[in-house]
Amino acid sequence: MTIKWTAAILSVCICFAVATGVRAQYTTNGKLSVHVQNVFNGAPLMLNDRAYGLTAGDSIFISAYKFYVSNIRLVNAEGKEVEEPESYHLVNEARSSSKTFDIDVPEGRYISMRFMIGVDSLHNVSGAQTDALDPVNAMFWDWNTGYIMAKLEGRRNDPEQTEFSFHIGGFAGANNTLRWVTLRFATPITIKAGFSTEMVLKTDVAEWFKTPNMIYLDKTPVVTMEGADAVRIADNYADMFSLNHVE
Amino acid sequence: MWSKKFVRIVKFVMPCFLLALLFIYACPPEIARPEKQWQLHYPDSWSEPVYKFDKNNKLTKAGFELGRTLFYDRRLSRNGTISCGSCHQQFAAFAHIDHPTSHGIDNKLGTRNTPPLFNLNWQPAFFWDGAVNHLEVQPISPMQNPVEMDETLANVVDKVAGDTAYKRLFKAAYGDEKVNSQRMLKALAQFMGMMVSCNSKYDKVMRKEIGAEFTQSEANGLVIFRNKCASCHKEPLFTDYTYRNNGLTPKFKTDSGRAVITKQPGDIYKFRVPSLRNLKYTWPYMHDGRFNELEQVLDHYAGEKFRSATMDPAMQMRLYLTATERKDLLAFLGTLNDKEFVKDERFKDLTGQTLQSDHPHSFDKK
Ligand code: HEC
Ligand code: HEC
Repeated sequence: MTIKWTAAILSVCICFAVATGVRAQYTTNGKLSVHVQNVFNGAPLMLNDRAYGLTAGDSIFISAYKFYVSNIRLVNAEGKEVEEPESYHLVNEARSSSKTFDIDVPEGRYISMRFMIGVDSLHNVSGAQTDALDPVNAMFWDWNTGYIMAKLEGRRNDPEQTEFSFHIGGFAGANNTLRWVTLRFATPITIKAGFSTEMVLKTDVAEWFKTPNMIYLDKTPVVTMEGADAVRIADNYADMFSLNHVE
Repeated sequence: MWSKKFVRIVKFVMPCFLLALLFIYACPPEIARPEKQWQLHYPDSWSEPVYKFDKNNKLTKAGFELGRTLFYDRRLSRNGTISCGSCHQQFAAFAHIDHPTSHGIDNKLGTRNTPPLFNLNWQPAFFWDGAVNHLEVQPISPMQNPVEMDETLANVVDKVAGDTAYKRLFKAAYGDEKVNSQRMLKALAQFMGMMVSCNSKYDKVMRKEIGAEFTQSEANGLVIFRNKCASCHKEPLFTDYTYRNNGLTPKFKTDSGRAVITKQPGDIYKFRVPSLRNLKYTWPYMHDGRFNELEQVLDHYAGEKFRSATMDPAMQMRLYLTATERKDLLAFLGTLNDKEFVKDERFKDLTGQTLQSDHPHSFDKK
């Protein structure tokens, strides 16, 4: 008799476990809290009131700086990747809340991370999007469909205060400005359920203007459509990220 | 004895019952949708549309009606003077009749002819040069174009969100009152996507409907059409959606057509092959609206072309037609006019009714 009861109760328990199995997976997630810090040649970035010198000789003020970080993946020692679902983050220097975001990551030990600067081609051809990808964020070209992957605007520190404007986009063929970034952790990080791992992700805006392609603002002050100039700048900023601090 | 057996059965059935319950719990019933799904109707012989009303944008009556209200709402422009419907008029098959190039805010003129709107779900890209790759994001462009509606999408969302009449329409369409650009754009796509023009005489003849029959002249015209025109203006949509240069002398030298988008020299002066449905309503013709009459279009095909490097090879030979053949071809083109479409009640401007309670003039009525 009791055996039968135990069997019945057990079967109920198993059913419950199966039914909630999917949810159970989520409960073993920890948090990775990403803080973005933007600098110019190592000096903190300040919009509008601080002049920064360029290798090419100019000096500039920066008035707007925005970029997409998307498709974030963490890679474990075996090379297996875990991907953040719906991974689209718009970082806007003028909006401090946009410079911190949390990612749910399954428990484990990870040796590196990968992400894309920009918005993958699929989401450039899939119609009306929302949240970070909402076209109201003014990171969307309506006259030649596609997202602006990264944006930098400002003026030269010269008597005319000539403005410069870089809206970098293009997602297909030779005009593709999507760039993958891989960052290795100095020591592997461990993500644990119930804990938050903090990370400082640094970008250096000076990289936009140099290596491999020197950008001279007198010659190229405006890049607001896809094409060779946009690709050259994307090649420049592809290595502007570094990891500052992980704990 | 009997009761013992009963107890036994119960003991085995119970877990099963619980199990079933659990599964029901694990898959909660779908949240009741505000409304039953509508259908997009089109002839069996047509291919599947490129843009489908699937789970990405379920077609509903309320969604369609929200889209219609937005389409005819002048507040979508900076100063409240221009709606989508100002340039896309139903009696003109949603083109802008008698306007060679678009006529927008503060009487500003654009450089291109307003195309008609129909059968958009089959169209792989939008605008004369294919600048826009998806029906849902298409409306952002006129809203933000300085010579069209000159407003920002963000402001449009704010204006719509601040209007109590829209709250009702959003709730009906989406189940709650939240307003965002995605919901607006998908609703506009529903309204525009429903604009299917497939009830011309040509369509009825092709469907072998009772009483539908070409005259001799129209039938002759169809043969000429298939020989001379159909390679680009492909049936049944009367375009193959490619970009081509049909030998027009450039009018706006700065408008290089498809090359604006691709930056390829080989695409200079190429424009999307337009549909030839509803020509009676959509004049003037061509990307810059240079011709008011179909006769002029035929004169162009019969005459000397502007021979640039990108002119389509099919334009090398001039079109030779006898006077009768010309009449027959025009008669056939006449069978592509869809009167039911331009009179379809569903596409009429009803903003006066749907938004009335919130319009200032409604206070004037006593
Ligand atoms: C000032 C006049 C004007 C207004 C207002 C206007 N349009 Fe247009 N529309 C045009 C012109 C001109 C084109 C073609 C543009 C081009 O090819 O560059 C066009 C093209 C389109 C197309 C693409 C058609 C095709 O065959 O490629 C769609 C769809 C469309 N408009 C919808 C809208 C919607 C929705 C609105 C309102 C949000 C709107 N239009 C407002 C003039 C206008
Ligand atoms: C080589 C491909 C090609 C062939 C063949 C061709 N057309 Fe066209 N047609 C075009 C293109 C491309 C346009 C748009 C040109 C532009 O606006 O720059 C056009 C435009 C038109 C228009 C204007 C439609 C509008 O809404 O503005 C009409 C009418 C037309 N063609 C009729 C014909 C007829 C009739 C024939 C056969 C005698 C024909 N076409 C053969 C490519 C072609």
